[in-house]
This record gives sequence, C-alpha cells and structure tokens, in this order.
Amino acid sequence: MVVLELNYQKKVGLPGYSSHSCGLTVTTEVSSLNDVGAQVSDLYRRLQDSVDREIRETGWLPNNGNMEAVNGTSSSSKGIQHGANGNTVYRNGTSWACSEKQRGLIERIVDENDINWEDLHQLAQARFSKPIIALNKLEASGLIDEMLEKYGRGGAVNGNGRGHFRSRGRSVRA
Amino acid sequence: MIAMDTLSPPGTERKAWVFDHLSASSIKDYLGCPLRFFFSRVEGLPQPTSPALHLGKVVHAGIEWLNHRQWRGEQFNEADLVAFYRLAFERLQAEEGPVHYADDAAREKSMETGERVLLAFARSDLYQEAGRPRGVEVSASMLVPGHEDLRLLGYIDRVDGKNRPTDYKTCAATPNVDLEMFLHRIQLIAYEELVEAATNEPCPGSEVIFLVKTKIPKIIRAQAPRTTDQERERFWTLVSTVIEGVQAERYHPQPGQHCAWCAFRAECSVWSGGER
Repeated sequence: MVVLELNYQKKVGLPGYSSHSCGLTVTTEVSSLNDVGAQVSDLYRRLQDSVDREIRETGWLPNNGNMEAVNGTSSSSKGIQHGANGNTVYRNGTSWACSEKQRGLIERIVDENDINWEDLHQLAQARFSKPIIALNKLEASGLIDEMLEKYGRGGAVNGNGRGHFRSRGRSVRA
Repeated sequence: MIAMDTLSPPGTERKAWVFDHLSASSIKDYLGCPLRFFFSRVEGLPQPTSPALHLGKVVHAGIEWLNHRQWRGEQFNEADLVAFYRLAFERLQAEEGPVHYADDAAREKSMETGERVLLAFARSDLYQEAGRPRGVEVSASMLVPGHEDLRLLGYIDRVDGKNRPTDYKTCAATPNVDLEMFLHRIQLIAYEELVEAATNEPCPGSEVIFLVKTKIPKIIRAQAPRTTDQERERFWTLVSTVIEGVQAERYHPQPGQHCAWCAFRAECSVWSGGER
C-alpha cells in the first residue's frame, strides 16, 4: 500500500490590510505506485475546488479602521484583486479613470523600478483618498510626477516645475 | 508674409517651427501683438530676462514648493523655505539668465523683496487655510475642438479640492483687480476648460492670487465665477482667430502701451510686411 498525503492551501489579501487563508490536507492510500499520478491529479482538483469555493466567504473584516463588518465575497471592487500575502494586483482589462498613456507610464515606472503595487496604492490613497485606478487625469498627473521625482529624476530639489530644477509636471492629456 | 531671413539675427539657425499646440499665454500673446508672437514663439528670438521677470519666476518656484508641502501633508519651517528660495534665485539665474541688475546692491534688494513676499504668503491665512490641493503645477492639454492635431496646453499653478484653478501673479504695486481679472480672463477660461477636461468635473470658477511686492507685501485674492456658455464660446472663437492667423502666417504689429516693454521694438521697426 502507498500512502498519499496532499495539502492544498491558498491565502488572499483583503481590504483593510487583512488577509485570510484556507488549507486542506487529505491522506489516502493507493494500492500501487501506478495509481499515484491519477490519484494525485484527482485529489488536487478536489482540494482546489473545495478551497476556492469556501475561501470566497470572507466573514468579518475591518473596514477603514471603523471595525465594521464587511460581509461577502473577496473584494474585487474597483478592479483590484488581492493576491497572496496581501499584494494588490490589478486585473488585466480593468479600465482606469486616467488616460491610457498615463496608465502605461505608471505601469512602466512600476516595472522599471520594481515598485510594490500595494505601496503605490497606499500613496494614491494618502494623496487622493482613492485607489490608483480611480484617479482622474489630473490626479494621475500628480501621482506620476511624484513617482518620477522619487524614482526617475532624483529628489534633490523639490517643488519646482516649469523647467525650474526639474522638468515640467507630467502632461495630462484629455 | 515676412521676409524672415532679414529679421533673424546673423548666425541664427532658424529651427523648423511645428504648430501642434497653443498655450493660454501664446493665445494672449498673439492677440496682443501678432508680430511679437512671431518674434518670440516662431523665430524664437532671445529676450533678455528683466529683474522683475526673474523675481516673479523665483517667487513662483517658492509658492510651488509651499503648495507641494501642503499636497503631501508635510510640515515645514521657514528656514527651509528661505533656503529653497535663495537656491532657486541663484540657480534660475544661472539656468535662464543673464539677468541685468544695475549692480550687486540692486540684486540683493531684489532677492530680499522676493523673500519678504514669499514669507508673507506662507504666513497668510490664504495659504494656511487653503487645504490640500488637488494638483500642483499641473500640465494639462486637450484637443482643440475641430482640430485633430492641435492641442490647447496650460500649466496650472494649483487646483484646489473643489476643482478651482489658481494662478499666481507678482506685481510691483497694488493692482486694479477688476482690470487685471478682465485682462487674465482668456487664461483663466483656458484653465477651467483644461481642468474640466482632465477631471470630468465642473469648475466652480477660477482665481488669481496677486502678490504685491510692496515694503509690507500684500496678498490679494480675486475670484472669478464659473465661466458662462457665452464666455466659452467667446474663448473658442478667439482661439480660432489665433489658429487662422498663425496658419495664414498673418504676423503684423499691433502698437499699444505694451510696446513700452517689448523686447523686439528694433526688429519691429524694420518690418515692412513683405510678400509671400
């Protein structure tokens, strides 16, 4: 007899800087090694289906520091998916309020500087009280400017635009 | 059509001028004097930086520094502000000068005047109670209606939390506010159009903050109500006038009081129209 023990675990980040996880472990036996592949495949699918079905129910969550319950499925509000370890990821195809050009520039700066999206999300919340994807063109311009100052142009002298000390504020093209 | 070669200074390599955008200030320039517009923006003839212009730019930089602190929710002390201002004074002169002061004493006096104005602004209720701005030194552009390849461009000093654009003006004496607001109307309407296009939200109006460089500086706020439909129509008609004039290369002098401080009087005096 061959004993198989399979563990499947998933963790998702949630609003309010929280997260939750769900894991299952199944122990079973197979009569021969030839049966292991098929059994593992079947078990993995069953475990994953079970976890994916149950983990959608998030139960009580902290909400904006007010400790109010937020019931329902994992948040995908405003196009934000919460991945493992609380990292926030943005769905492909999610529409942003700013221009495509601005979105492309933000994504490029993030990629080139290996910026954590969650950090950027927090910056947007701090400056504009809204997530990145909800920033309008004017606000996105300000965010881009701040990102370039911090990551792209150096921050030696702050607060000077129009070609004074640094290039002009990022253009908002409407 | 102007005989351009005879007007460019010897040795000037005339760059190809691409007309792909209009700024709020260029609209005002063309309407003020098309020939001056040609000399400064098409020919790109150098213009000396007056001490007043230099001081205005430096004070402007200081105000931007202050607004950025407010935007980021950062505290600051006046020593940091003054240090930034003095650095800006030196570096701007190096980068965009030369600036022709009568002597070192005049330069020092100019620097002190700007510092006084900037500190007065930082201490004013107008700044202290302004709240977090929505945008600081924002460059915004939008397509000119009816023109696929032409954009209206503007650099807006500040947009407040209610979507109101603010422009800062330094002046040597207490302004005639009504007249100044009338003269700035084109620029303010342009800013409202740009902000509304960039935010998809209405502007409640616009404002100009005058910083008066008197011995005891004055900070004067003038607010304009929301642009009416008639004013918008008037604005875009004026924009069309400028576009048609530039595309037709209609550059002619428009004599007036502004000739007193125009840098191109010598070039203007030899203008005789010429043929296409």
